[in-house]
Amino acid sequence: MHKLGLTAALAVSLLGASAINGAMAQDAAANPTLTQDPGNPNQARHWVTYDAAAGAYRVDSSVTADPASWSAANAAKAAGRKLICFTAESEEFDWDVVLVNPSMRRAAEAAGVELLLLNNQYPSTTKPIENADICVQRGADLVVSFNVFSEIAPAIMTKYNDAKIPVIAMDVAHPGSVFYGADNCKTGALAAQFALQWAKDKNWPLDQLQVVAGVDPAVGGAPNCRNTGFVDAIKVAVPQLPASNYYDVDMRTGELGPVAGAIAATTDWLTAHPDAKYIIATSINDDRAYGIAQAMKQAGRGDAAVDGIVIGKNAEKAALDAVRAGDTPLVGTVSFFGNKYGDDVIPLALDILAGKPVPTITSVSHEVISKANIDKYYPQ
Amino acid sequence: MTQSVTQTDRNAGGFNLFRFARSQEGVVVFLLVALMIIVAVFSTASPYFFDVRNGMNIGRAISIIGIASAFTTLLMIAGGLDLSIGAVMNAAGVVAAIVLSETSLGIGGAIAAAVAVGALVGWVNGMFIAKLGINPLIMTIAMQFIVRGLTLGLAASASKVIVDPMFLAIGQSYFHIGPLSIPAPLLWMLLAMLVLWFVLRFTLFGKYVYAVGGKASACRRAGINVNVITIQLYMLSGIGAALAGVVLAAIQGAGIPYGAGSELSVISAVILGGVSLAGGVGLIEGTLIAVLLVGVLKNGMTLMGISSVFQMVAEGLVLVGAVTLDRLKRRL
Repeated sequence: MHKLGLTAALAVSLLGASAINGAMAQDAAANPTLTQDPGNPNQARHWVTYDAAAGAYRVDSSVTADPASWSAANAAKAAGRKLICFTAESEEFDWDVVLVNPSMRRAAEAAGVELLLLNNQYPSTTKPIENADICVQRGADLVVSFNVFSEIAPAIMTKYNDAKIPVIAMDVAHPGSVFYGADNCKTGALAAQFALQWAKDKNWPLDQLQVVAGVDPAVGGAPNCRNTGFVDAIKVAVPQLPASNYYDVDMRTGELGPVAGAIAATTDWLTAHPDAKYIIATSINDDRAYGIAQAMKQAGRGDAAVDGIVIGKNAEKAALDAVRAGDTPLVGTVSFFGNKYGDDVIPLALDILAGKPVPTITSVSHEVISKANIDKYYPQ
Repeated sequence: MTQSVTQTDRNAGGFNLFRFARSQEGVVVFLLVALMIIVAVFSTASPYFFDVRNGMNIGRAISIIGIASAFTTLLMIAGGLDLSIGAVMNAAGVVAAIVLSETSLGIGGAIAAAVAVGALVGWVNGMFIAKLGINPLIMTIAMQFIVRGLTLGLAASASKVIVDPMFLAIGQSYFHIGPLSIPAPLLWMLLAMLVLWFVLRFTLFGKYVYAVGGKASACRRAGINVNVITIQLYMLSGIGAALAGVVLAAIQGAGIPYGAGSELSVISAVILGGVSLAGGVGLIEGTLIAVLLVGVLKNGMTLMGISSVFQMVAEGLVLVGAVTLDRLKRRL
């Protein structure tokens, strides 16, 4: 009897699973959002509209313009009161609390749409899935998903696809959604270009550079491309640099937080490499970049003209202050203007809801912020 | 005056409110009332709260902590403590994913391997704690580090995606009972609670669990092999964490080697449910309602748009409140 019950339970489970798979089994040709890779520079971009009946995006071949020409300025106006569910990366980190989340709130208010902000509580891998349930239950008209873990994106998208809710994925691609955000690999490449230009300007011997990437395996593949993009670009530009001059330093968030973790890991690396000069370092975000720079400074090896430099990512306040002050090796940070995300994402959402064609991939602009241009982009 | 009334009540025959308040059943009733009040408040405050679908969302959200908490309840009633639960959950998910993707053992092999990992970790914990007398706090923290390190090494610090539909069904399917679509994880949690409730209530092993937690030295004098019971309970805790890890991996569609650490959520739910850190006291029913209470609290505050910053504060306050009330109740 007990065995029979379990068998029945498993059978019901299987029926549920096949239903889920059926919903996911969509034609990738008609819906390129299912397989696109926004980080691939050769990735084709299309116009798509959301087919509410099918619960999927469909290529709209009636538009011939370049998808990159989409502009928030021409977006539709909100028709009636719409609910946009925004599953934010966190309500803890500067990037979210100071930049992205307020920009979403501000833009939603200006557009007259209701924004339900739910906290994905990065680095939780369960909260984004729980939040997807809440968005569905609240009957959201559209979801903006800022989930960093690409591994759980299919599980999240299954819920939205079943509920026929269009999704905009922020910064990390979700299969079946249009993408908005930074090109993680490009941020690495831009940081590398800046670092190499700095090395050339200071007459550093390029074949003696020490390339340090502060890695965090826990953040998943997409954000780590901010490091691998950096390393790959240097390998291409400086082929004579030996493999032994590249270092991955583990800077996963410890119990004391990302900055303290980066300081400790970098201090250890500097101790193990007492003669290392011409360091060009980067990491996935400004917290860790700031930590690397602090460790170099505290070790008495923080002269950006001789010892080395650090390039951050995100243009968070602490990094911008350090870049402006110029008293640490943190001489640049790649900005993708998180403070303006909402200005694009909310109009993009309104276009989707109005049935207008939108690009499968909308990339933000990227800029290395240094002492030379900080006042232009971030005036005091 | 108060003293004499209290004394009178304590000595009164028939139903005694003070005695009931101090009892394990009293804790459960108290939690149930608190839960009903919270549900009533949220139902008034948010039009989206009192809804079958939202109830199912809450059920799925609490299922992982619920499964692990059910097993941990037994361990903590016996006076034990296991801080390696979160690490075992991650390890079990990764092991299951690797077995699924790199062997032909299928879903049965994946679950068995995951459970074996949990049992092994529990056995090591139990051996060191019972045989060598190592403090459970120290031993299981050490084991947490060891298991986390081994898991990251095994997975090469990368998540292992799971595509097996049968395995995914464990976490992503629904049981359709009449008009209700019940998420599978919720049923696994209720099943775990039911089985362990039966074990605690109706088996000799259950009686030993209370006895070991109440007075281990007396148990030894009575001929009960306390060491064996302790080792078995740590193994059960590991198995519970592994089962929770399997369900978690199925929900996520991946075995993820890192996590925010769920052991504190599990332990706080068990304590909130009325299990004393000193052991000897507690009921599975209390744990179930406590897990539900925390889940309802989180969900209700989210639906009301209360910032997660304040949600954390509220969660802490509820735990402090429960422990304080428990303390006051013992003085009655």
